[in-house]
Amino acid sequence: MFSAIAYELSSTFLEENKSCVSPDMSKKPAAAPTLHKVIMVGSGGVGKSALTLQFMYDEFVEDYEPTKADSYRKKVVLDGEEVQIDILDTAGQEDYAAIRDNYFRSGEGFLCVFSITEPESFEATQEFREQILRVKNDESIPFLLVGNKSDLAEKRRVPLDACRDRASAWQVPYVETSAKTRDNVDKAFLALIRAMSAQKKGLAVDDAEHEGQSCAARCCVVA
Amino acid sequence: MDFESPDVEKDFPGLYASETGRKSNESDFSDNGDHEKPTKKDLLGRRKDKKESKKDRGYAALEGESSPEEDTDTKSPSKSKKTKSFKFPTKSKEKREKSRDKEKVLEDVTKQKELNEKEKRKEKEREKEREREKKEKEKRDKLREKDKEKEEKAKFKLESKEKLKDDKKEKVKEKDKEKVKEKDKEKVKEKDKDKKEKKLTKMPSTVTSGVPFEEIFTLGVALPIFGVPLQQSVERSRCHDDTGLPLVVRDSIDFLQANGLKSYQIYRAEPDKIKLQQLRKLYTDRGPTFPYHWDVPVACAMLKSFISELPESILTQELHGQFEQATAIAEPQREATVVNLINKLPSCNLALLGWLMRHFESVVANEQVNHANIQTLYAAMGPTLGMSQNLLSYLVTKAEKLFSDIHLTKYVPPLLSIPAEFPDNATEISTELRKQESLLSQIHSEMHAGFITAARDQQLWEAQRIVTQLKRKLRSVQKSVEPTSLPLQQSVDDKPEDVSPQQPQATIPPNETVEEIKMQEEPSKDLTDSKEVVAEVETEIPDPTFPVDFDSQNTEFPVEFEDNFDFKETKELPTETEKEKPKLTEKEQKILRLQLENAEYLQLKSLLQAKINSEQFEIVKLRSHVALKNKLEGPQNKERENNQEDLELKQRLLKENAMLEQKRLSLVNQIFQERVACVQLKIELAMKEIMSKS
Repeated sequence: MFSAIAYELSSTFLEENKSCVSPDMSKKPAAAPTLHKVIMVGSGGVGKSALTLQFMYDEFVEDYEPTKADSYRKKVVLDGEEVQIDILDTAGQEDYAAIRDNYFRSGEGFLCVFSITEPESFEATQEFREQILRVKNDESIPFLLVGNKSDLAEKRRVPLDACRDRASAWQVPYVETSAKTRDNVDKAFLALIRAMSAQKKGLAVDDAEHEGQSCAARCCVVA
Repeated sequence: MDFESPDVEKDFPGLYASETGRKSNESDFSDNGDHEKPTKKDLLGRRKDKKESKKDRGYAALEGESSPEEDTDTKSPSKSKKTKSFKFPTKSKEKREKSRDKEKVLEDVTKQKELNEKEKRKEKEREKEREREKKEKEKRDKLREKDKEKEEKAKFKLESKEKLKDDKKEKVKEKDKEKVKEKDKEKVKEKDKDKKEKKLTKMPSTVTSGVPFEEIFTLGVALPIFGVPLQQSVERSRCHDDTGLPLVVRDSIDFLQANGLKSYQIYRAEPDKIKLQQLRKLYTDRGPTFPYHWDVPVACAMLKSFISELPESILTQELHGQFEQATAIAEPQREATVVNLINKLPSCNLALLGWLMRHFESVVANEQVNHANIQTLYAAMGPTLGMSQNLLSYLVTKAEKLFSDIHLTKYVPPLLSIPAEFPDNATEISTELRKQESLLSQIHSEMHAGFITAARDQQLWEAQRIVTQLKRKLRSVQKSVEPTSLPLQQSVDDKPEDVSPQQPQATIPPNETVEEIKMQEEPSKDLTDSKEVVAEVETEIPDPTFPVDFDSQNTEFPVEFEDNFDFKETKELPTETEKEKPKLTEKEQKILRLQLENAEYLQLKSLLQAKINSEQFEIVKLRSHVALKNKLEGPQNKERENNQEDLELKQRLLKENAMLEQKRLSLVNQIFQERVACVQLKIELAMKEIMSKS
């Protein structure tokens, strides 16, 4: 008896739901833009948070405070289409590695950041890449290699060629940014978002490669 | 189909108990291995036997739970059995269908068939999932094997020793050993947990490669909150405001404090078993509860069952005796002794005891109205707590002195999404921040235990986002409080910091602001809602059905409305304001949106109320039908009872009903959520129309 009532109840509810949802359905895609989940990875102090804050709020914070984990949401108009992005700023320090793992699983695109003034951070990108691939189990996951602190060119210790070589070995685009001067910050994020939405739309392979090349080309100009 | 009706229950008083038992067993697949257990345990001697049977009874009420001991048992060799028993429901379904066709018990067979087909499809899916589960479990089992071996050895030793001893000695020694054993097991379990976590963090890919196994191997089954040590229960489902209480207990006490103190039913009336079970299931699955489930007897029963299933006295094994002894001491020393003992309790036990006693204190304080005194409380809770009446009445009467730092405050859960305006003062922000961080760490630990779903992911990101926003806000508030202590550095940082909180709203193009506001509006409403509910709940006893939440809105936005609020009318409201001021400012937009929302919810409320009314009418009607039929067919039924096949059929039907019931629950939840989404969309639409007009 109970289930019969339950069935009737749920069916009537569902019917009504349909009736009231259906007129709105056409509007739904506009109301809920696609959501992309970006994750910032890289060693401590390379400027992940600085990049994120610059992108989110156009602000640059001088004083360094290690991040545990922070998450932001922003709406971006990309090629005329409105998309929503969630950015997760992770901890560079190994202390928080366990927390990081939970996020890696749900990440859809990764900005792998190192500092061009710090060879150790460049080396560490290798490990981050491996970790991500291990979790995501997908070579074609949207991924961007980012050399940050390009404003400190005089202190540069990671040669541009090495960066490019690594990027091409991984078949990912390479961008050099400066969180301080906002140089290429938007470009880095947008390139990644474009790759993510391309992959989601299923045009994945071709476009991503194309994207990678064009981006790489742009980077050359910048660098 | 009619077995669950209370009238049948009257005719066959024994039926209901077994029914609920089976229901709960069936509702939880991983428990199936259970049926084998008693035979295995028979070997363990008489006293063990008794204990076991108790457990089984406990199990009947348990639903999806397993005490530590059983947990390890079900995971041992019974895997192959499990898969066999999985096929059970499908077979039974076919038979059930046939029998039903023959008997034509129901006229709406077609409806049922549809339902059954759905069921079957789901069943298939489940079977697939189960296979995956099996694999997952095998992995886990490998981890546990070592510990199990140890355990089994320990058991074996115990058994052999037991056999050698006389009954009397046995009794004495066994008690001690069982204590030791249980402790050992807890340790082992904890080790297990640790290992599991480590393994999972090391090899995350193994977790993600399959389907997230939450759907198969639910959180409630793997990490139960009933029947486990208090500490664990608190860790798994806690209040995020540092009270150290399990959420179930807090909610129950909150409800009783708000609605039960003046009720004659408090700690007296029998609960609605179905509601109780549903509520229990919701807590086990960490789902949201609905006002529908809550009434005074259910809340009392919930508290009672939680406490009675704790493996240990809430006064702890070591101190319980001392507490009892302390009541015999003469007064000046007694209080000091008890205070001393209370301070020795682990923090979670102290919290639970304190909250309970403060709550009982306020129950007894209302004796004039609710006619509940210490005797009533003792009759209801004394055996559960394992306390003597002396001790209980002492603790209750002295509660205010003994637990002076505990104040019964209504639990305000952490925000679920980013509200339009965070609290402005630093202390409020940091309290919320603490709650959020507690929530976050709980989500993380659940995920580390392997329970990863899209929903939990979303929750994780959302909570993280709130934490981030709260931190930013806190920082900016703190900076404005202590102005420019470091003038040079500050001036650089201050500008962006101060502007930032408003920036997202200010810089977005107009059509985006609508979205932005919408996104932020809902949560803020939730917050105020919950506060409203508290306020309201204290003044009047809300009807225990769905729309309690919606009622609270009346108080907040006093807009005139009719019961059958038409959508067109809602649009008139805004257009009026629109005529006055053709260009709407942000604030006006907000107000407009809130008005629309209010109207929508009111409409929804009246609709739901109407549904409930008709549903209740239907129930009454059906019940009278059943009663009539029972009278007519009374003798026939008795004959059938003797028939074995019919009995089996009945059992199967009961099992299936339990499953259907669960599905119904999840459907209702889903519907509820979709409703809310629907309302949001409607408002969106209306807003856009208004905007385009202006």
